[in-house]
Amino acid sequence: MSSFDMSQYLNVFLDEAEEQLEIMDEGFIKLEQNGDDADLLNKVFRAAHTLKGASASMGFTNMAGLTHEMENVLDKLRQGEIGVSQHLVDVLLECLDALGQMKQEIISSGQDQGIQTDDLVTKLKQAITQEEGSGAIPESKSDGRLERERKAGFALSDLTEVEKNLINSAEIKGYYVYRIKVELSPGCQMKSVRAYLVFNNLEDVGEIIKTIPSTEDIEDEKFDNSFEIFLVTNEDQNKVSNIIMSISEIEAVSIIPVSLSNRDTDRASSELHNEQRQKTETQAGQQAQQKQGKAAPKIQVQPKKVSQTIRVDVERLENLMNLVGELVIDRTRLTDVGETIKGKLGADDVVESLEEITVHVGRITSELQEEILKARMLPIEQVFKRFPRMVRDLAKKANKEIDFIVEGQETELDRTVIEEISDPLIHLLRNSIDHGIEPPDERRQIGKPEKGTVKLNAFHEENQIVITVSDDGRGIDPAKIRQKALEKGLITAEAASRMSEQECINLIFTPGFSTASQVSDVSGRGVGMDIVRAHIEKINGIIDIDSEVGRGTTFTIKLPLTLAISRSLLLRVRENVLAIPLVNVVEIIDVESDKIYSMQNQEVTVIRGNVLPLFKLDAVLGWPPREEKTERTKLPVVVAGISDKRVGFIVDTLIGEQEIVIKPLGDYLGQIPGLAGATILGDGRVALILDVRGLVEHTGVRSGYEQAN
Amino acid sequence: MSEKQFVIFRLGEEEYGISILTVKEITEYKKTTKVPNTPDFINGIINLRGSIIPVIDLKKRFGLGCEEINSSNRVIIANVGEKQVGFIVDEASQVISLDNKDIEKPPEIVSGIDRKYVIGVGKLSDEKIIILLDLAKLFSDEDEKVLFEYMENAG
Repeated sequence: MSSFDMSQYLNVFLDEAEEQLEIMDEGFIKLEQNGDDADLLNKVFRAAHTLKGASASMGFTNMAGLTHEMENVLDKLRQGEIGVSQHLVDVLLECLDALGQMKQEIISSGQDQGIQTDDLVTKLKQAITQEEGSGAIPESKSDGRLERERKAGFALSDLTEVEKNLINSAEIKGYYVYRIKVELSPGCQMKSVRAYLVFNNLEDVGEIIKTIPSTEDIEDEKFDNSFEIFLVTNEDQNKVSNIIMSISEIEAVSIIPVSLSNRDTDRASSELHNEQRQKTETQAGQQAQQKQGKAAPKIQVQPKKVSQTIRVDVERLENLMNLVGELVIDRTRLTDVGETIKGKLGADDVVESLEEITVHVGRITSELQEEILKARMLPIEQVFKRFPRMVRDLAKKANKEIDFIVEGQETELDRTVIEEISDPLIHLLRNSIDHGIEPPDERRQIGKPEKGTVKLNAFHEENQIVITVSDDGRGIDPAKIRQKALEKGLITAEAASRMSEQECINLIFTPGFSTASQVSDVSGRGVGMDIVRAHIEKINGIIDIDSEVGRGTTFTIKLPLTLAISRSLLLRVRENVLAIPLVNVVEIIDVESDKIYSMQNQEVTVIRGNVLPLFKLDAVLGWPPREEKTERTKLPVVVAGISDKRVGFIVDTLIGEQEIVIKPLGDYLGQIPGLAGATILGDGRVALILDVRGLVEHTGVRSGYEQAN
Repeated sequence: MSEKQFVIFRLGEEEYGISILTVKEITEYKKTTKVPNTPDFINGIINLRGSIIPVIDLKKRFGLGCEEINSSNRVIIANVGEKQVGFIVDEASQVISLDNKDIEKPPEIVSGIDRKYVIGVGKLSDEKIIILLDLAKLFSDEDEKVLFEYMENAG
């Protein structure tokens, strides 16, 4: 293969490698707990095998060599010759890291020779020797299962990948695939002629994709009394059997139906990368479920489900999204025009049908928008699947025992959000392990189970995604946080004394609260929590802490489903229409002008016993003060919130709530303080979208509803 | 003999030309949405068939005065690199072709406009002179730095 040709396949190879590495990574971690899970062993073995084949065919010999050794170990595990030990898993994971590095090397330099694998190979071999003999127990447990596996696998054992693909596509089209063993009569004279007749007759009803021995050998009579055929047909077994038996000098025919999807479990996963995939019947279905990591008990029988997928360029989806955005705008315009016409013509047939059409177009647009949003959705598994390994390594490093529970991996969210959420979650998990969970001795002393629990959960709630990271560790002690913040001069003693416990805990989000070197002194956490919050707020999310000393901590992250469209509150300030994302709107209140007080040169009002700082929105935006003073008795105030801060913005009028498409202001203007972008209104005008975080920061308000004295 | 086409527009009394290849379209000025915390030569943003485009008051940008802008003004939508930007001018009505030989190097002194934006001077048959501009230069690093500094201070 010339280098030009290679480059064409390189991306495919890298995708494939990535996937197999992920399967192994996930599998090895699970192996630690479930060493005798035959399905799992088969899955990781297949992954290693596939990767070996793929890397060898691309000429990455180093990678192929290492995977070959891993495959050996995995095969021995699979056969029950050796058992799983933690050491073995460690070595396998090390190998995986090496493979990951090789992959990076291939990406950067196109070759894989820079990583030393000798040590690893030796370690693997040593591990085998060590474990040999220890495998007796797991084997006896899983013997029956393995046996069944092997039996089912028999029908497929002699197939190459190409042939498997053929079978797979035949299955998708609804054909049967049989492995037929034909035995000729002992005294048969012209064996090749009989065989030829068998072939010929079978070709009438289907297609022969493989024979054992090969067709040439059969023609040369290089076989004993029997040969085997793989046949793709839409006839049932009996018919096929009859066809063969109608030929003379046939002693016996045995037919085994072949189904890849029934058995070949890793097929299902590697199939994810194919353009079409078939997911049928119990095992494949189950496999897919395991892949999604559902903690639910295994479901033995699943309804047959065939889903076909096609790969689409992300850019296309983005374009579709933009077009739908346009449509959403036009839908609103259509409604506006309808209203105007109705106002002009009154009740009229034409007006009525226009209304009808408008409603219909509106509904279809909404559905279209929803569908495209869904098409851009990915299961959060994309992010979550990396964590078990990380948690394991961190726990080991910190000498802690941790049960890591992941739930809701199938929860879907927009890919733009997915890309952003990974780092904050890593931070939070890291904190939970480093600072949240106590060392085993300490846990034992205070009567907790030695093994700490860290739980990661994702689910939908209304129009949001909620992700929680919780642990049953020592919790955050507000007193210590307060102390720390005082020492660091982040708050004044006077402010500290007034702070509630929750407010103290929230201090960990303050920039500069903590750095890595100091955090171990504090019994809480705080490695870059301000960064975590900034990340989450960047994608219009909210993060909350709920912590109880001695009981554990839960971080709750709420995220929008998508970043492209947001429900916003439209309001008017002078002649400008502005939009505030509803996520940031806490409430809308009418404030009577005589209820506005001045406190330290700051306009405030009191709601429910709390002092709320008030700002004129136009002033905050830096517009020059207006000339004519209109005295209004009631002022609409939008209470905006960013984390625990609450600020009231005085506006002129409220227009209403609307779904808007967020558009950037363009490269030229770039990021403007206080603005998140712009949107196009129903009448084609442009409205600015406010960045509440920026605005609130601009006002300099530090904390929430301050207690009224 | 190669020819180039230029869109001619007027700013105050002076006429200028920009290469027709950079011009996407010319529209009537419609009220823009004002953007806070931006330099005053940014008139605002407009919706051009679904894209948000900044509109620059070219006269203010070049320091040629600041008259009231109304619907008699024109907006030239130009492609500047990857970006689309609108420029408010007083009038834009004409496209002319110039032979390379009729384009001269910019003189040492150009009234009003910084020389770095001028790519040449076009001589028309009727002895009229057109200053040929390269608007992309408005978006050179240096100019953008000024813009961003402005915005940072404002923020």
